Amino acid sequence: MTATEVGTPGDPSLDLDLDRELDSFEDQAREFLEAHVPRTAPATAAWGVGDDTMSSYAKRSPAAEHDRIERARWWKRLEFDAGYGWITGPTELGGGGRTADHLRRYGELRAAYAVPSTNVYTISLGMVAPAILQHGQPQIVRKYVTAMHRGDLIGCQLFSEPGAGSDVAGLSTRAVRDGDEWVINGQKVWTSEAHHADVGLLLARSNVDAPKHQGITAFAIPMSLTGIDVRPLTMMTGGTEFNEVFFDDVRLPDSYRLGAVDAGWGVAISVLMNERALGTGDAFGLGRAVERLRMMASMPGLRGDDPVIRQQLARIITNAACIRYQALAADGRRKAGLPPGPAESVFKLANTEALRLVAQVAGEMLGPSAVADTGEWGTYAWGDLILTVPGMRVAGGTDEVMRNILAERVLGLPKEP
Amino acid sequence: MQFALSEEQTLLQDTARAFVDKHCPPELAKEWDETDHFPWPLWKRMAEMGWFALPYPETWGGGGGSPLEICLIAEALARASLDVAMAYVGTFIPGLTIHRYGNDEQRERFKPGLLEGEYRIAVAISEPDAGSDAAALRCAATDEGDHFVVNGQKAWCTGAGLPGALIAAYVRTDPAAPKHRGISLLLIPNDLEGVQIRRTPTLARHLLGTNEVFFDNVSVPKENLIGPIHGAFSLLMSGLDMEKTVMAAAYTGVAQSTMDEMLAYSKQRSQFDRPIGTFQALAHPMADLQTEIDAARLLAYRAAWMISAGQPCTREAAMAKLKCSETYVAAARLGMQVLAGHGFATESVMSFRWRESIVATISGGTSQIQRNAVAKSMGLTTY
Ligand SMILES: Cc1cc2nc3c(=O)[nH]c(=O)nc-3n(C[C@H](O)[C@H](O)[C@H](O)COP(=O)(O)OP(=O)(O)OC[C@H]3O[C@@H](n4cnc5c(N)ncnc54)[C@H](O)[C@@H]3O)c2cc1C
Ligand SMILES: Cc1cc2nc3c(=O)[nH]c(=O)nc-3n(C[C@H](O)[C@H](O)[C@H](O)COP(=O)(O)OP(=O)(O)OC[C@H]3O[C@@H](n4cnc5c(N)ncnc54)[C@H](O)[C@@H]3O)c2cc1C
Repeated sequence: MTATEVGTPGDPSLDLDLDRELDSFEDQAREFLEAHVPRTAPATAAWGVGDDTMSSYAKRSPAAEHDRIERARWWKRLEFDAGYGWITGPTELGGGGRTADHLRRYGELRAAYAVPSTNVYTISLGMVAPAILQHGQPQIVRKYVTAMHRGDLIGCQLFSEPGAGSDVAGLSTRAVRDGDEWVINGQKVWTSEAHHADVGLLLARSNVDAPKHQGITAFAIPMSLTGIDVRPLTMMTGGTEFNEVFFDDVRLPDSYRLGAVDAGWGVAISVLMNERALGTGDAFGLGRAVERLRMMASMPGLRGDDPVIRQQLARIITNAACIRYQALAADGRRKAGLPPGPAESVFKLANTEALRLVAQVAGEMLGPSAVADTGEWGTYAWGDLILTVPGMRVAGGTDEVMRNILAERVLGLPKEP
Repeated sequence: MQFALSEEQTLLQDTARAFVDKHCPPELAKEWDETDHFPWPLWKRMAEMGWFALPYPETWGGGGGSPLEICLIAEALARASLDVAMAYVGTFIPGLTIHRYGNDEQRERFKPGLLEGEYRIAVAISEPDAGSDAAALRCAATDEGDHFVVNGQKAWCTGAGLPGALIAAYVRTDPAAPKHRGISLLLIPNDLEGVQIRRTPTLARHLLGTNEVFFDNVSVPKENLIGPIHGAFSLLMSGLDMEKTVMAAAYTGVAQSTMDEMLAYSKQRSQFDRPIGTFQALAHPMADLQTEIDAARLLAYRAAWMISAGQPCTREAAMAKLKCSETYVAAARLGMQVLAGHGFATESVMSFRWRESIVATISGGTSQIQRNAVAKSMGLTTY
């Protein structure tokens, strides 16, 4: 056995330096957070305090919706300008140029503060910005990526169509080349946040003669172009976060193309992988929902002492812990430079299944006050989650599709005949 | 053992189904729900069919229908929505209580309204602090000679806000007696002075709407006391098996409708160049669901048969309510999955099914309370 050489990876003194640097980073980040946002109230004191919303799809008044966006924007800007908005991003684009460890430290720290919800940016930053960064032409990257991370611009994902959901590659929105431009015609559907979006990540059929996966081209498309019509759809929750988007002879310069002509499927795959990987964070809100449930179980009169409920709570908390540990492992793989892979489909599946159970148990604990508004804090708000769960099992790839991916791409089972 | 319906029953079933197709298809039921609209014309049509009279004996001018026949109607109506079936069932169940326990004068007085479905009767048992434990109710009526004075609050009073509704309120008349022995039943018109009704916002069931009802020194004439003074707890319990059984049949009706809707969609919707129903991941759950629905329906029919045969069926009615309501929830859950994005948009009937199903395992006695009843029949008294 040989001693580790000084100054090489594994050298303890190097680790210490790194730790020290991380600690001072954390101290500064704490100062920043302390200066701008309150700490989250401890669970015991939090019951009955503040906003009790349980779902980002909940029905909101126009004023509340405006407030949601403005608060998210305010926070994103502040965070970005202070250097915490895009910690791992390249410095030449305004990013922090730091490591995944810094990002994790900041994330853990921030979790203790009541920062505004930034879910309007989930797709924008989790899927659209990375795709533009990875596949976009330099001027398009400069135009969008920094502004998206600062929260000034919002992106949406224009994949699904009425006839192409699980089978995205079956899409039929057309992109026809005309000199230096493309002419887009067709329709997308269920596009989250399109009504707020400045830029869309579009998949369109550019070659009708090629096999379906080889005739798709990806684009970044400004949502303000003439010929784009965004029509909000009402969700079962009453919220209007998703939309139909129509394209009628929309002209788009070729410089907005992402990746090569007819090579859009590769872009799509990288986006879908990033989408799945969102599950390793708390994009689904499982952590919060479990915390609320625990809080509820400790309230007198809400059946936390019922043996059946206690068993179910234990199961939920075990599931949530397993998901968290799996996510840490995935984080490790990410740090080792491995891109998100098909195995991460398990996060989406596990998160939505866990949330389904959380919503069910909350319903059992509350009885009617989960489905009827008695005015009591933290009760009817669960109704939104109960209504949202079926959507979560569909958005970003259905449970069945996730299982297919796990079966075929991870376990190596043959395809269904 | 005999599983076939009689010719007459088959005819009734066909008629009821045709009625639903014509007068209240699911799309319409959904629209009523979304606009909080009670469809009075539909109501009149049900009366014309003689369905409100059906549960009462022929000797009284009723239709003399058996519990199974009533189940068949409820099942067919629920193909529109559970709420539509509930509006029907919720009217004659308290009507039967009046018929069975009212005195001669009361029966004559209420007869035309009951047989013709003129009354909307809202049952007021639950209170903010008395739900599953109904006998804990506190809303009080004091005897003032020729009338009672009612004070207190009721919760979840379904249909109480509709014009002309009669509230069948279970109230405490003897606060000193043990909790099961001091309860009486009063019929309280919802427009009496001192009655205040406040609609509770809910996820679904908007046809009838559910309400908080406040009684502030409401004078109720003595002739509106139904059954023995202080002795109404047994009235409250008496209709329960019948209610659970008929509602169980309704749950299978709406579960089947939900199944039929997802099945049709799964055959017509293609992804990856084949109908999605041909993926085993959907075909098997749908096969399981149809099996569950058939099993649930048999439980409902068995309980109905037992009531006809005069056999006690508290256990079997509880099993039927439990299984059938849970099956509706399971059907809606699978339906949402099969319809996927289309289901999640409010335009789809399936989104309405899911919204509506959530309350199925709560109202009419929660699943836990049914399980308690079944467990008790097995010699397992929980708490
Ligand atoms: C709340 C919400 C937000 C969304 N946001 C966006 C967005 O921002 N951008 C966007 O592009 N899309 C978005 N979507 C669309 C979403 O990605 C699609 O709904 C989803 O991919 C499923 O497609 P579909 O609805 O057409 O269902 P279908 O593909 O028609 O599926 C119907 C059923 O068939 C099953 N099925 C299909 N193929 C198979 C198979 N091979 N094996 C087994 N079962 C199969 C499915 O699992 C499902 O149960 C959103 C959807 C929702 C509900
Ligand atoms: C849409 C709707 C319509 C309704 N319509 C009417 C109506 O017209 N008239 C009327 O009188 N009432 C009506 N109800 C009230 C309904 O009957 C009660 O809500 C129900 O009995 C439960 O009572 P609760 O609300 O007080 O809940 P609780 O009794 O407080 O129950 C809360 C939770 O605890 C569980 N629980 C309670 N006791 C036990 C136990 N011993 N063991 C295990 N678990 C237990 C329950 O299952 C439930 O999950 C309606 C309710 C709803 C939601």
